[in-house]
Amino acid sequence: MSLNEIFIDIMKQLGYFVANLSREFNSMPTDFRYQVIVNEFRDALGSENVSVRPVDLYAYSMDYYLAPQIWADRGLKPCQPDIVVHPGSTEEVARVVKIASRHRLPVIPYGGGSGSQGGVTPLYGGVVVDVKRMDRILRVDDRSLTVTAQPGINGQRLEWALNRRGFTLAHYPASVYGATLGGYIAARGSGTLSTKYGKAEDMVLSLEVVLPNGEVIRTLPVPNHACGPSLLQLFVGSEGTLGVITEVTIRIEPMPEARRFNAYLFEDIRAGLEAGRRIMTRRLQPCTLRLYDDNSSERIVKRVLGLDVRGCYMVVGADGEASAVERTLDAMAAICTEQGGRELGPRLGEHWWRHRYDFYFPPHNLMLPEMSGTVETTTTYDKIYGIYRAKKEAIEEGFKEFGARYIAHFSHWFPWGVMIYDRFIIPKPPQDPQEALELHTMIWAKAARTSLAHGGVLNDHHGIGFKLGWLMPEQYGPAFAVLQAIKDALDPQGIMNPGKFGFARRV
Amino acid sequence: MFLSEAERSETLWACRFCMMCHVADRVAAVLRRESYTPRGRAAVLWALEKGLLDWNADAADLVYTAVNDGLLERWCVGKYPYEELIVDARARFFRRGAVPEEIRRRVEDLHAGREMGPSPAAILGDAGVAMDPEAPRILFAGCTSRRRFPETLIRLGRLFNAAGVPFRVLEEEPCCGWPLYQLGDFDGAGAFSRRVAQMLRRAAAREVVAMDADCLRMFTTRTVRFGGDVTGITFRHAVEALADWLKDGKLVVRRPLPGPVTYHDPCALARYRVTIEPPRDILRRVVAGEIREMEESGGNAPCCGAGGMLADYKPEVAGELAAWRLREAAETGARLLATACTRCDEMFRAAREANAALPPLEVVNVIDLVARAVAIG
Ligand SMILES: Cc1cc2nc3c(=O)[nH]c(=O)nc-3n(C[C@H](O)[C@H](O)[C@H](O)COP(=O)(O)OP(=O)(O)OC[C@H]3O[C@@H](n4cnc5c(N)ncnc54)[C@H](O)[C@@H]3O)c2cc1C
Repeated sequence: MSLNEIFIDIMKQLGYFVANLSREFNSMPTDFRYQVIVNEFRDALGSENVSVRPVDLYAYSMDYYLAPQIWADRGLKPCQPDIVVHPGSTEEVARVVKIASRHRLPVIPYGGGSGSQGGVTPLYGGVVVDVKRMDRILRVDDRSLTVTAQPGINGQRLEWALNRRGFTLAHYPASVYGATLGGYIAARGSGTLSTKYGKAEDMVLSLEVVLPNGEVIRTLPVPNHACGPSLLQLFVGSEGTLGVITEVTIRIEPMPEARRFNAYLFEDIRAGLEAGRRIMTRRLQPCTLRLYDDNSSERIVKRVLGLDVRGCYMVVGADGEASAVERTLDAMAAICTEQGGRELGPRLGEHWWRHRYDFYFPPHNLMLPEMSGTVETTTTYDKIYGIYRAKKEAIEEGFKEFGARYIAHFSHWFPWGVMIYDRFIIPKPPQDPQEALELHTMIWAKAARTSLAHGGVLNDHHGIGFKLGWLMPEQYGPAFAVLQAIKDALDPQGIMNPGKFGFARRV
Repeated sequence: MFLSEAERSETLWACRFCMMCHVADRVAAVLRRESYTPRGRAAVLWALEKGLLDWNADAADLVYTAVNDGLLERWCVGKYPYEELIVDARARFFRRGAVPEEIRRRVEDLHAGREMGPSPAAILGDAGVAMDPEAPRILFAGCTSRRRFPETLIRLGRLFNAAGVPFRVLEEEPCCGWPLYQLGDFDGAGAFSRRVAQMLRRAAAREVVAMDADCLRMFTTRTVRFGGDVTGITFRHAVEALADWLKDGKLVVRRPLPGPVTYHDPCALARYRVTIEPPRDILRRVVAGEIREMEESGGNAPCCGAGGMLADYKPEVAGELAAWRLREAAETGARLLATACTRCDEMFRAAREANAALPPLEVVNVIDLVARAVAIG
């Protein structure tokens, strides 16, 4: 049984909406037709930029989505593409998409493969379009503070290049060392300073996109206008289902004169949440506000940062002009202490900032043999504590027999609410891959539905991919038909990243 | 062999799904393909282990396309020995006879002693460098110096003479075994290690001064583990010796050199041996102008392209790494790039020759700089 078949099976057993995944879909047969198609790609890109080597097909079969990882971990072959191509320009991407469209082949855009939702899983085989060769910075406009770059540039390399010129992208996702600029936009990502600088969708100005028919379009040069609905935002977060992003113009920031941190300890998560809410609704504009619940402080903060704290650790940060930074930190200090927070001091805040990515390196990260999932969501302030309680209970009580644990932190704050970065951990998942996947899917479903039932959404910044696609119709209700209609209009053959987002398969 | 089974499986476990060091892998940055990222290689190794892929030249290609410069382990918060994992994998391919043809031929050349260059005894003897047949100190030139930089070797010999430090060379200097170790021929590396150790013992060596940083790394970290007995012999690099002689006044600077100068740290010295200060100390003494550091230097310096025998297997990729580093050197505004390893020297010079568009930076070995400054040769 293939991974895809197993999924369909599990979802059917659970009575879930299996929407559009279909068994009868054929991956390309390895025959004459396959050879001819491979040669067409070689002709379009040069032989060296087309691979059908088994090692390459395998390497492109996975991102951080746990399902294919479990699969591989248990010695089973995950879904693989049939061909991998490495275009070097927009023109080459367009050629690839046209060939794929003619042959009705699935096209899966691939950036850094750091996504966690199975966005790049080639469910039905097809062509993986790795955009990493398109990694040039095309323009830095230091008057308007924008950069235009190709999508395949590595996040940290882009950041270093900007730093050398006195700027920063101010987008610091924990995956910055591996993710790409295109991936940031395609998955609607968020960085550690998003509370001040916004998410990817707030930063981007315009895009160039290769549509599913191979046409190249540009969105308007600026994001704010009154020229109809935002075409730009249609492609932001589209995770390769509507086209391939081939150029990005995005806001940059001057390197701040000062960036400083402080840390607090709250006995109770509610007090920490209230402090955060007050900071945000007084519009203090911290660059960082991150509150860990007691489980997370115990498991993550203590282990990674070596801070022996009991309670809920909160790091706050401000950046910008030095005196304004002081004022913001003072104002946040007043609010935190008023809410019962004990000041731990700047050293423990700075320490967090310096080690902020350490959490995601082995052996600190959550990875097999533990089974885990970041079931994060976002909601308004009035509902956030309710969601936290409900999800904690849903996971810890609902999956007690598996020793389920729940940890959470609140890391991206908005003027109106906050996202909860919460995770489940199953210390000893079943060895049998089918059973493990079934459990994984059930926990995800439970967590996601609890979020939806309590005023949250399926996801704040990791995206939807394959993992959550099947829950999209449930989340959107009748509105999902609007998304599906857009998909059908742009991609009538359904070649772009099929099986993701819950879109119906059309090929 | 260099990783226990437990270390190996733990490293594989940690790296097979992890992309947190991708940005530190310059080979990955040049090739821009998932299979050639640290995760890509580890994922494929895992799949080989599980029987999902075949041990063939395509899979081997991924592990031979790496510089093994220690930067990934350094970058990693968990300090997993990724580079050793790669060398270990090479050895497994080698044992199975599944290495790419270029690698097989290179190993054959090494066993046949081809491309070793003339013997140091002949190079130095012909140049009139004084050697003391009774000296307990051996100057170990290494193949790259012999083949490509005999003039630098002669200058080093003259610096020994000028410092009044007696030395000699092995009559027939053998290969230290480093290239075989890197290429995965562990049996061959073992045989070479035992042979060189035996020759050093027979020569009653007490100290070995290596010109090539990789030979030094072999002697100090691998020879013994391959069964070569070097008990009682101390090893150091030429720059460590030169730094001492300049400090002690055994060598006197007569013609300080103009700056600005920048310095490229060889991986084998800066990362594996932590010899970071001695070459800088030398530069501070011999250069009258400014010493400018590149952004990534010391323990963080990236490989010049020669690491992991990449230059032998994929010269074009290695060349791009060298060109990248040259551009970084030029960005400092230096007029001269100093190196302390003949293999880095070779890479930079070749890259510059191959690409006229690269900055016209003079590349000079620290040994040659010292020779210029103390006005010998
Ligand atoms: C350790 C770790 C930490 C993480 N931390 C964060 C975090 O702090 N913040 C955050 O937002 N995310 C985080 N993520 C998730 C992930 O890194 C982000 O979603 C990232 O933006 C994905 O970028 P990528 O280049 O790796 O995309 P990929 O994984 O390659 O692709 C993701 C999706 O986007 C599509 N896509 C990629 N490139 C293009 C393109 N050019 N055109 C069209 N579609 C494209 C793919 O088809 C896929 O559906 C983390 C992941 C990991 C593993």
